[in-house]
Amino acid sequence: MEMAETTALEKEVAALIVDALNLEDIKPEDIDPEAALFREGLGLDSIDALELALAISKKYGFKLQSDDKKNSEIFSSLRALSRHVEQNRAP
Amino acid sequence: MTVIPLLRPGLPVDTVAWRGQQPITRHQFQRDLASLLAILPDRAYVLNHCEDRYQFLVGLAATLLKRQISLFPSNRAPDVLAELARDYPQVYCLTDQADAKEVAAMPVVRYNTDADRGVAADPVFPVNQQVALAFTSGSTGVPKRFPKYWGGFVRESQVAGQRLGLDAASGGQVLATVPAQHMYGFVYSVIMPAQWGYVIGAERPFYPEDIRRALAARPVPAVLVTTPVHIRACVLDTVQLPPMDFILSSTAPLDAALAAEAENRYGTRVQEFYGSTETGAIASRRQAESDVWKTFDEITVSEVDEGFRVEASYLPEAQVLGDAVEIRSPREFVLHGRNTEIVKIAGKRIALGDLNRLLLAIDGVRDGTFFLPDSGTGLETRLAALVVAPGRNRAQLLEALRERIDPVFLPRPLRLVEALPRNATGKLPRATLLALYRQLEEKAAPE
Repeated sequence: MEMAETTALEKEVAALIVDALNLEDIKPEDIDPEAALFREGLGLDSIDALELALAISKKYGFKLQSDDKKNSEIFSSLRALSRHVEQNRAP
Repeated sequence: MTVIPLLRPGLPVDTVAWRGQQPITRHQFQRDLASLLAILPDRAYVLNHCEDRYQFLVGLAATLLKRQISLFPSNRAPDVLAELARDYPQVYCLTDQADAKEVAAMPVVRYNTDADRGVAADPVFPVNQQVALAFTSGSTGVPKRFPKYWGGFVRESQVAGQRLGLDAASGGQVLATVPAQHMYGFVYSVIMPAQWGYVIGAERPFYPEDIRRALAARPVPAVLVTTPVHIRACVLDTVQLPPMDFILSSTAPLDAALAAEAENRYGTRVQEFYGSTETGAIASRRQAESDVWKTFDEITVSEVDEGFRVEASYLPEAQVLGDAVEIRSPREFVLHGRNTEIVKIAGKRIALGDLNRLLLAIDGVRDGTFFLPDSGTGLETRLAALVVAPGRNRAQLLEALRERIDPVFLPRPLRLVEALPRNATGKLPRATLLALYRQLEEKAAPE
């Protein structure tokens, strides 16, 4: 299967996901930027969402909120999450 | 027959719930109740799937008025709900979610109170009316069922509220990070506030920042009903929360250092409840004072071979719980680690034996085991699994597991091995298993 091309920030966020969630058996470059992170895809759950929110707050200096527009969309894929980081990261 | 109202009557404040900064009055509740009642089907069982806690409350009142019993499955994995629909053909799902794929197995009724049907009377229910049927995962693979009655929920809320020092005269609000579909969330974020006249926070804040904003939105003394995972997330996130009356934590014992850190940072007390699906909450402690659990009024504990026995004036029968405890007196006990055969993750309890049975039932799996590694640095320690399945890969096995078990129990990692280190009697000593696991982890770690 051909994978969509990955940007530098997507690579960075993929590494953050693998590191924060102890997904030792997955390599950051194996995460398809378009594939689902929760359930069907990587199979992440609500505790992972909390862990990721912590890691993102530490690294990018902003806090995730549930009522952020389309929260489920933010976590829908590595690409969507990276876009959200791009738009909200502290300067 | 004694009847008891759902909502405490005659309160100084007329607000039932709060959504953001919007108060929801008792009159609105009575109007929504009449409206919802008109669209509910005549069925014996209901799965109240409403995420919004106020809508859950309206749904609970309406379904109870129709004498319907709420089912509380141990988790909401699609397979579990499909099985529930098979076992209870009379069940339907009441939901406020537009997209609830997991309930596809049963008829779905959307929460809707648009139609004007007048105003319903304040609902009251007989103490012997069955409210719920709660399921535990059971140790034999067959879920065990526990009928729950209105009088029991009311009495539990009263003795627990007294222990917590709730005050109906001054009131307050209850904000919860736990869902109403879990017994702890059901009793302590819905029934207890309703019985004590506390305002119910309709939302379910999830991230630390959500909790901060929900508390800040309403300048009323607040009780935060939550779990060790959320408390740890708040403390690690260095979020500064507005003042609270106290924090209530349950589903797993809280680490003493974390409890102290939370009390310090938020200038509040952290109360813990110990309980089970079988019994509801039965005891409390505040680690700043003692690690001994003190049972609520009307509850006594005693030692038996298989664990310890809990008796309560308001439980239909005594229950034996499997956790290892040291009984100090009929009203006091200390928890001694966990039963290693039962694990609890994200507030959900499951027998490792059940997980292993599900694993071994997967096509191509010859041998395999789930286990809980020693705790790491994350918010919660996850299960791991070692599996012997020649010809199957990790992704296929995870896919098969995902259909059968709640995602919180998915192994992380799942590692394929050639054989498990079983001893001569076929058993897997934990030390040997952990040694093999550590060896595999070292090999897998980056150079």
